[in-house]
Amino acid sequence: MDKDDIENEAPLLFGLKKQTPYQVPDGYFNTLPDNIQKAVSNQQKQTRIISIKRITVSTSIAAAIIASVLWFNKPATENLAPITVNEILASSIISDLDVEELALLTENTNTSSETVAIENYLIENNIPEDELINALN
Amino acid sequence: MSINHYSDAQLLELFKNQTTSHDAFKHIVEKYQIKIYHHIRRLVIDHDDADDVVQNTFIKAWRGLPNFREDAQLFTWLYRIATNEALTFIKQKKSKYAIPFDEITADYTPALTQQGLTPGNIEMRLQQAIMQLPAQQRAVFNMRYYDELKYEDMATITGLTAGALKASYHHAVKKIEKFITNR
Repeated sequence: MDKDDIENEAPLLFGLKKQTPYQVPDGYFNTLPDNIQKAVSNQQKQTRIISIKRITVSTSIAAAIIASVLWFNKPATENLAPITVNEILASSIISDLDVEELALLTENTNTSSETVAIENYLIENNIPEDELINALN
Repeated sequence: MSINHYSDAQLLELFKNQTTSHDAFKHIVEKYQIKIYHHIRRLVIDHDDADDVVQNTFIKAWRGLPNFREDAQLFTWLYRIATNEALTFIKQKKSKYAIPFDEITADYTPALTQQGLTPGNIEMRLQQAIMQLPAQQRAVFNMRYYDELKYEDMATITGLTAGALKASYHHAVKKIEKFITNR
């Protein structure tokens, strides 16, 4: 140690033998490393348990958030039954729709072989839509 | 190979390997436990308190070792944790009892008697004088007087400048010399 100037100013203090007066229980330093190892292992176990709990809680929260987002953003038409040709014809909106819009509305509906045959017949014979609507009414 | 033959660098290298990390850490504890214990014991005085603080110090060291920067010395790093833990303990104890720590430490005078020190004896007066120092100054005094650490290392440990530490140590020495001379 580099000597301090102050040592000359405190001859009594620096004339004493430097020793710590505190006694340590017998064998303390033999057992301390093992006690610390145990404490470290316990800490690790606790950390692991906390981590698993955190993962579980985080996953649950994330799942709840995703479910909520999907629930509130689901398409409004999801639960609607497919619209049928008859329903369109029976409704008042039929007069506001042109052929293409009509086709779009009905394209996802299940079509029977009978319906397909009628459609083919109308196309092949070039029947005007006015006639068709009048006939259906 | 005896643990005394492992350098800090070798122990830190062994610590990085998962299969040897526990053994390496045990060696680190064995290597530094006595110095760390006495440093803490001089600050908190009671053995049971010192034992708690020593364990907390090494548990924090275990957690912090993976991020330990090897350009620092392992010993000063452990000392830094130990000093912070001991000073935090003293602060908590002070607020818990809401009385000056000097009064708490005064209670340990009988304990010093049990350690073989006789009232009025110069060793006893020295310990009483040290106890009257504020906790941080006591840490500075102990590190320089008992552990004979360099001011540069003490600066790393405490985060204070070497100049501030020298001034603090000189004040402490003067107070202690006056105390032990005047009784």
